[in-house]
Amino acid sequence: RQRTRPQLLRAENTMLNTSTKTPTGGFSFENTRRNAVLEANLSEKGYSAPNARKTGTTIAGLIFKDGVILGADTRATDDMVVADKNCMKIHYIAPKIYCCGAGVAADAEVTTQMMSSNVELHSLSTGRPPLVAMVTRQLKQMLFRYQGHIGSSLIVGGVDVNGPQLYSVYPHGSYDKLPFLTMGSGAASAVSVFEDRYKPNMELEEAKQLVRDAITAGIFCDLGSGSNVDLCVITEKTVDYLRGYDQPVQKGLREGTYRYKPGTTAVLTKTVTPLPLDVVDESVQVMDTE
Amino acid sequence: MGHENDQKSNRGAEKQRKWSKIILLARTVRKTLKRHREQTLWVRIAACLDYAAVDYFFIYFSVFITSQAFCLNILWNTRGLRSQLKDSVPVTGLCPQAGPYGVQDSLRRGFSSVKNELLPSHPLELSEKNFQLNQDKMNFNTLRNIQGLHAPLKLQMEYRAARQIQRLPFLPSSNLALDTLRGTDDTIGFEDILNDPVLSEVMGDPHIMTEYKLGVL
Repeated sequence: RQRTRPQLLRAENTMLNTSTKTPTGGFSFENTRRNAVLEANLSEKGYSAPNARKTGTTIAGLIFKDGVILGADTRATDDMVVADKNCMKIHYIAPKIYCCGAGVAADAEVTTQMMSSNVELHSLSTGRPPLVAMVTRQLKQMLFRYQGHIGSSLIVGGVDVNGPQLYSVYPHGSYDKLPFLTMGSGAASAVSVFEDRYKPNMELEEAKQLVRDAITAGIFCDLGSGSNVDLCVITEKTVDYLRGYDQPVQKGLREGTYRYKPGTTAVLTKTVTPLPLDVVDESVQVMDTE
Repeated sequence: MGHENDQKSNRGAEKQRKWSKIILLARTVRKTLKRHREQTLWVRIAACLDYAAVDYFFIYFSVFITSQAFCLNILWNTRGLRSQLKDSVPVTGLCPQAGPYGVQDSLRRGFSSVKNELLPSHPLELSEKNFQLNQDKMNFNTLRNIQGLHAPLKLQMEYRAARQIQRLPFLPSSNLALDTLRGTDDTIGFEDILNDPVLSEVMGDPHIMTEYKLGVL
């Protein structure tokens, strides 16, 4: 059967890779098949594709008498190697709403930045300060849309017209609303401290001490968390971002020195070989020194 | 008895022929409507009447049918959302794995197989492709259940009008009216950050894209 002219043209265009579709934004899945084939081939030889850097975290949040305290450690790991000794895991979303991010570092970062922009646009459009529940809702809708492929677990805490609120959002899109929450690889260690000593309506200093203790438990008992403790205290009147609030792990001091006195090693023989070098070309470039 | 039966059967055969003609006419009308679905409404009606004028015997039937088509056209829009869903990646004719020289491009696309062509390569690929359509379908259905059929009809009329405001086929359009209708003009998503079409390095061939748009290709 003869091919008609439109069919011929279409076939030609497929061969020349010209497309008639208008390009849209968003994720592009062009390379997934190639990546799958490459990984299959590499794993036969024993290599593996590089993994995304995770934060390997302990993050925690607590509601006290006047507001919310969020705490986080500051270590970012790259598969058993510490990639960043002092990273910031408490991200800004709105003037009175902050968010701690665990899981894949890039996903948490980009998600919180997008949330921050969306919250700003939304509050400009409504003319009111944002609600923590609104942030949680947008987060969970977006994370559910991507079915857990965006691997970021977040703790959102803040103060709005309904009082202090604390939500945790999981990578697949579920969320919890509780008076104290922990997430990350060190969550079990931190939540044990909370379960032991949490009381409703605590004072500021007591609550800060409790969050610090919980994060420290995560730092000492979990390999993926370490370095310093960051705290963020959000009340109705102020926000205190205490970066490096506590350094439970100090770097050890070197006991001895490995420098040797000159002359420690005896010289047995010495031979000198001069290298003959000729001047081939000489040029002068004047520099503008004004 | 036999004579009566013969008469009945004759009449039956005549009726069948009449009905088959009407059905054939209805089919051609539907085909024209589908072919010209990108055009404005009046062009579509004119095309239908064009076909109708062929046989003046059935001109009243054709008027009836085109008026049905006029109403159905709007109704087709609500059902038409399903026809726009891309449930599978389409097979693209001649050598699907072709690279720039027309032969299999094993380096970039891997070995060719029917499964590779028809099934998506990532679990999210299809759901992302259809996401906006699915959202619209869900919202329009809810709106229809709450407020009645008129609400999604009016809204979809506005969407159709806003979707027609485009620049030339190969240039990126801002789609401002469509964004405002959808409410996405004050939200930021991955489609604004990643792969922004304004910043794309390649452009479709102007001739091919215009021919495709006009239906000549």
